Amino acid sequence: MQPVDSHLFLIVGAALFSIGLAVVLVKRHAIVVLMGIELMLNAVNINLVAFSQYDPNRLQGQMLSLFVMVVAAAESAVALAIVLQVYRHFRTAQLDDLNELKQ
Amino acid sequence: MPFATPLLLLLLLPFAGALATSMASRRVAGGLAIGLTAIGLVTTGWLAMDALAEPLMIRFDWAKFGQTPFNLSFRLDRLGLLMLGLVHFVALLVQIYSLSYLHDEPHQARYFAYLQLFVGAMLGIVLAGNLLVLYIFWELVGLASFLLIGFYNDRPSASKAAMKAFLMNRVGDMGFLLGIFLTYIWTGSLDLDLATAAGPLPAVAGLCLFMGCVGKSAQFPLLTWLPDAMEGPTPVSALLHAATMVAAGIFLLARIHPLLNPDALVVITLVGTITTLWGGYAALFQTDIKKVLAFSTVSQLGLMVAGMGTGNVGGAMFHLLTHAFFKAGLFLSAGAVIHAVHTQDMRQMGGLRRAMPVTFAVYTICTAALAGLPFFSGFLSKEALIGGAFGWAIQQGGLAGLIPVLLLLSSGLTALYMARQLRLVFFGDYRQSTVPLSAVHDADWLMRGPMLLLAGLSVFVWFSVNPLSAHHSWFWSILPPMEEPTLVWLAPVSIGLVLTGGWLGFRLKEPRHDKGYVPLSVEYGFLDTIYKYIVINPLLKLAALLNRTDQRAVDGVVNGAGVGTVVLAHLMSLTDRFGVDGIVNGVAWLAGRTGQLLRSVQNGRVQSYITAAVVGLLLVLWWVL
Repeated sequence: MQPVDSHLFLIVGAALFSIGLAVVLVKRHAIVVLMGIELMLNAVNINLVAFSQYDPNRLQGQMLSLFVMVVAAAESAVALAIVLQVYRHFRTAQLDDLNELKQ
Repeated sequence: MPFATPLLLLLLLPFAGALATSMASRRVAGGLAIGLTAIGLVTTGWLAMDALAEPLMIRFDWAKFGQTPFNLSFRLDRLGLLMLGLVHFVALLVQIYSLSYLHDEPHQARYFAYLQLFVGAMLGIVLAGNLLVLYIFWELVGLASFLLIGFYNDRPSASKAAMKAFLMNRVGDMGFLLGIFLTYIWTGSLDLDLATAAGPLPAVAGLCLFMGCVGKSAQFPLLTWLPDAMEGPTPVSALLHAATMVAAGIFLLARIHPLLNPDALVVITLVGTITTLWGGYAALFQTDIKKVLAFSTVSQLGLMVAGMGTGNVGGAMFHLLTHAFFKAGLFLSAGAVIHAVHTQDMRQMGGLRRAMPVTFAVYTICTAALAGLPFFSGFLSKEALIGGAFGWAIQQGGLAGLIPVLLLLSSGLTALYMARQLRLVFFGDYRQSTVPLSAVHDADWLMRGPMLLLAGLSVFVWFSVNPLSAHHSWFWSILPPMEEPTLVWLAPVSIGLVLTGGWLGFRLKEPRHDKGYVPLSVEYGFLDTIYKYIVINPLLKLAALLNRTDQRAVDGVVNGAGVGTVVLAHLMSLTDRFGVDGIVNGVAWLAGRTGQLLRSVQNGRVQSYITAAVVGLLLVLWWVL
C-alpha cells in the first residue's frame, strides 16, 4: 500500500496539540482545561498513528495509541473526581480563584 | 611702730562704722556714728603727741608686678594732723546737727552710714603716704559725695545732680590718674616723700595732677557740679561741699606742691583767679540761699588755689582751716533757716532776725568772717593769702601784678553778695505766705550747739592774738608762712573794699531779671549751656550714631549669620531629604519593586506555571536545536 504523505497528519497533529495547549493555558474552567488535555493526548495519538506506517508490522504505533486512550480515560476519570472534590471544597472550579499554591 | 595700730585703727574705724551704722536701727544709728567720730577725734589727739615731733610713717608691700613693688604707705605729719582734726571735728558737729535736722527722715541709718563712709575716705586721703593710696581714697570720697548728693533719691533732680557731680569729677580724676602715671614715669616712685624729693616735674605732669584738684575742688572749668550738689541734705553741703571734701583738692595741692614747676604754678594761679571771680560773680544774683553759699565756696576755693599757685602753701591751708569753720557755720545756719521756713528761695524770706535771733547772730558772725572783716578769722587768712600774692607779683613783675588786684576785688565781691544775702534773709519784711512768721523760731539745741561753736571758732582769738595780723599765729608752726613784704596799705585797702562791698550789698535794690548781667550770674556764665552744646550734645549724637552702627553693623552681622545658618540648614535638610534619604528610599523602592516582580511570578495559578514551563521548554528547545 502506498503510504500517504505523512506531513498532512503531522500538521493536523501539531494543530490539534497547539489548540489543546492554548485551551489548557487560556481557559478558566477546570473541566475545559481537562478537555484541552484530551485534545493534546489525541494529537499525540494522531502522530503515533501517522508514524506507525513506517513500522514493518504497522502495529506498534496503533497499539500504543490504544494504550494512550485507555490511560486518558483513566486519567480523565481521576481528574474529574479531583475537580469534583475541589468544587466541593472551594465552591468553585474557576482556576483563577484556586491559587492555594501561592501560599 | 607703736603708733601703727592706732593709726590704722583710726582709718578703719569709720569704714567699720559705715557697715555697722547701715545695719543699725534708726534710733541708734546717729548715736553710733557720733560716738565713732568722737573716738576718732580723741585718737587724733592722742596721736598728735607723737606726730607733732616727727612724721609717722607706715609702709608695707601691697603687690609686686615683676620686679616692681607697689607699696601702700600712710603718713601722719603736721599738715595731716591739722586736716585729721578738722575733718573729725566738723564731721562730729555736722552729725550732731543732723540728728535734729533729719529727725523725721526714715532712712537715717543710711544717711549716717554714708557720712561714716565719707569720713573714712577723707581720712584715707589725709593719711595717704603715696599717690596710689591717695587716688584710691580720692575715688571713695567721690563715691560718698555721689551717694550723699543723691540721698533724697526720690527726687529726680537730686539723682541728676549726683550723676552730674560724679561725671564731672570723673573728668578731673581722669587727668589726675594720668598725672599719677606721668609721675611714676618721671620719678619711678609714687611715694610722696621720694617723688617730691626728686624736685619739680615737667608742667604736663603737674597740670595733670592739678586736674584732680580742678574736679574735686570745683575749679573753672569744672565748677558747675558744686551748685547742683546742693540738692543733698544741708548738713552734707556743710561737711562735704564746703568744709572738707572740696578742700581735698587744696590738700592735694599742698601735698604735691614740690612737684609743680613754675609754668604749672602760673596756670594754677590763673585757674584759681578765674574761679574766684567767676564764683563771686555767679553768687551775686542767685535766689537760692544754698546756691549763694555754694558759689561763695567756689570763689573761696579759687582763692586758695590761686594762693597755692603763688607758692603760698601755708596761707592757702590757713584759709582752708578758717573757711571750713565759718562756711560750715553758714551752711548749718542756712539749714536752720530752711528748716524753719520750708523754702530755699531767699525772695520769700526776709525779716527773720527777730524770729531767729541765734541763727541771725551766727550767720552774721560767719558772714563777717567770710567777707574778711577784721577781728574775724577770715580776715587773717585772706590777708595772708593776698599779701602772699602781692609778694609773688612783685617777684614776677609785669602782668602778674593783676592777679593780687583781682583777688582783692573778689574779696570785695564776697562782701557784696554776702551782704545782699543777709539783707534778703534777715532784714526787710517777711514775704513767705505758707508758713506764718509766728511759727518761725530758732532751731533746737542739737542744731544750735554746733552752729554756735562754729561761729565761736570764726573769731580771731583762736588763730592769732593780734586781730589785724596773723604773723604770730600758732598756725605757722604747722606750715611755714610765705615771706611777704610788709604792705602797710593792704589791710586798710581791703577793709575799705569789704566795707564798700557790704554797704553796696545792703543798699542796692534787686535789679530786674531781664537785664543781661543777671541771668549771666544766675546761670554762672552759661557754662552749663556751653557744655551742653560743646560736650553733651555731640556726645549724645555720637552715642546715637554708635547705637545705629551697633544695630546695623553688629546686629546686622549677627542677624546675617543667623539667616545664613537657617538657609544653610534648609539646604542641608533638602540634601538630606533628597540625597541621603533619596538613596535609602530608592534602594528600598527598588527592593520592593523587585520583590513585587518576583512575587508576581508565584501567583498560585496553575495555568501561569504551565505557561512558564512551556515557554521555558520552547526556549530550551530553541537554544538546543
